Amino acid sequence: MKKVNCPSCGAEVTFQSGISVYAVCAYCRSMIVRHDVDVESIGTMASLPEDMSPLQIGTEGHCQGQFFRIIGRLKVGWVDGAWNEWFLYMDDGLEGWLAEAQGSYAISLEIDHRSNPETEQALNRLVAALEKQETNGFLDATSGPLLGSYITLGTQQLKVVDIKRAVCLGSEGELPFAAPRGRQTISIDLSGSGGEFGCIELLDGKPRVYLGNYVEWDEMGCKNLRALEGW
Amino acid sequence: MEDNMQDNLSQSGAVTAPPPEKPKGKPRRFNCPSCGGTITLKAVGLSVHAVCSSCSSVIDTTDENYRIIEAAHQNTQKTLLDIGTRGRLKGIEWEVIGYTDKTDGLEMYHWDEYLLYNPCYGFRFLVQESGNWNFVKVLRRDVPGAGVSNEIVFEGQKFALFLRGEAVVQYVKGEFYWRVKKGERTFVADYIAPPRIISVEKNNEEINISLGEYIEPGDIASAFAIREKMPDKTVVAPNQPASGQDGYRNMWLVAAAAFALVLTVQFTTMATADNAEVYTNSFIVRPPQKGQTIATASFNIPKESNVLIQTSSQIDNEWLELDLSLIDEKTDKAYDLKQAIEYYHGYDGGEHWSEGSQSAESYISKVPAGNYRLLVDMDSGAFEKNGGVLLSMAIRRDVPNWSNFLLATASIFIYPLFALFKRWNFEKNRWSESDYTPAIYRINEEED
Repeated sequence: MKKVNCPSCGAEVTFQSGISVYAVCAYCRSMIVRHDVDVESIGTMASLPEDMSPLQIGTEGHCQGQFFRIIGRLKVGWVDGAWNEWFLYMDDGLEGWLAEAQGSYAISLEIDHRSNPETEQALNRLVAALEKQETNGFLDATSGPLLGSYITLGTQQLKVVDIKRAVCLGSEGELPFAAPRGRQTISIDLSGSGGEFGCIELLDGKPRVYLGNYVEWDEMGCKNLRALEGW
Repeated sequence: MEDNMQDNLSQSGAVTAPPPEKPKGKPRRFNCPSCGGTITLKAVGLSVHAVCSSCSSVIDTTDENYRIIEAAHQNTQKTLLDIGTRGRLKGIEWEVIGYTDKTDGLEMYHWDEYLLYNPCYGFRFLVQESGNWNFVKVLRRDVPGAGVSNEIVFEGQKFALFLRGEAVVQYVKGEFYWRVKKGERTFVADYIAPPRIISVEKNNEEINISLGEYIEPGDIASAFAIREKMPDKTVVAPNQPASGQDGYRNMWLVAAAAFALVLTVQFTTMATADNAEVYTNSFIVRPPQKGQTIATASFNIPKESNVLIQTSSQIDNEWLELDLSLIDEKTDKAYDLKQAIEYYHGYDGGEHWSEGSQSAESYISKVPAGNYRLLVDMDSGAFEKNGGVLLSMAIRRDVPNWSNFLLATASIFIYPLFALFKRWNFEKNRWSESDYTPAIYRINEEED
């Protein structure tokens, strides 16, 4: 854990995770980027679009026997709606993501795709196919030949169920990358026959790969939930 | 608040006051851009389309200006479950936030789809068709072959293809987490493993797979406090469980256990039965003795047991009738029975035929230990013809007997077999609505 003072308002800003490099000041909404020796404000984050999520920064839960605490959020929009990517600080120091979309939940960890040549090849093929598809104008229709195809990541065979252009609508808490409004990615959702979840996020053609599982609300046993009017 | 923060900041930058509180989650109210009516959005952040309850205009709720997707001025349809109704199903509270009226491509079949929402548990659907209800959840997983194969496997269970067809959206109200469109057509395939059903919905953009579970109308009515009469069940639903599923299985288990017991008893009895001959003899009965009672010599039955009396006679195209009476010599108790031996044969139209037999046997189920005689009264057509009748007789005691066993077995299985037939009939009705009926339920169709 590392504490810094917000360069804008001076309030204490905590980085709970060692890989967090970006945080939004809870007092003045400054977006703070952490460098080796100092911190820098890169502007102010507007308030996030409202939602009815029961989760919030500070919510704690479990996933496959591992404790997690939500320490950051990315609100992502696409042409047909929006979803939340909650950044998790886990017991053993791992950083995970809890995706909350259309009322379902998936928890995943980023994998190092460069260490596996076959995964790397599969990703390269996917990126190439996607670029070709994009030039043909398929992407915004979330269709095209890639949808429904399979990709092998590590040992898992996963189906491409969704390809969409995503844009950051806002962020809060701390995150492992800077996430100002308007940050654009291509997000590819994958699912396996055993409830496995995967996501490939392309930022400027460079992939980040996340693998995990869909989880049921009750499995997580969440505590410290957000107050919701009427519920 | 401002002042406090300033104070805290001036103390060497260490802030102790908690950060400003974030707003709690609440429904969003806005005015319909078409008619000005108030719209309350429940699944804020998830719903992308809302339908005005006053004018039925479809509004894009992801758009800051609440763009009208489809302006409409029509009355809202009344539905069994109103938008905003809450109910508790399987321990979880749900709010009805959307409704879709769908038909098949030919508009022959109608069904209701209610969208349920809970901020923690997300979305479910309640689907009603022909009085049958399903509680449906979208499956976030790949089901290989879904929509293509005639059989798919989910959680190790086989689901059989029941129908392929089209679904057309006829009417919508409430709010939705996808873009709804009246008249939109999707390809549908249903797979069943009662009480569960897997539905595959496919359009050009996506494939949705959902898992439904049959739910009794009474459970829906009590969960949502519905006072109106629930729609009558008019057909067997594709995934309707046969009534008394557990009872049915238990009935067969009990029958199997009972049969095992009867079998054990039977084999034990057969293995331990004495099967002993207590008397055997042959008499020639002459015409002058006709009408006289013949008494056998006394014989002993050493313990309580059954008695088998076997008689035979070499009569030929004749009949023989016996009135038999087993007498307990000590008590004079009589066990009466009749036997008939008839044997006819001949040659007609190039074929030999025969009927009857030259022997008979009868059981007396139980007699006490003691000394016995058998009294025999005989009449036969053979007296006149042959001038005498040869009658052979054997009496055995404690003889293994299949008749009790057969009787017991029949009574054990008669009801389960009846239930099996009823179940087959139920399955036949279920599959009568399908184009993919398994062969064993297709009997009536072949007659058509």
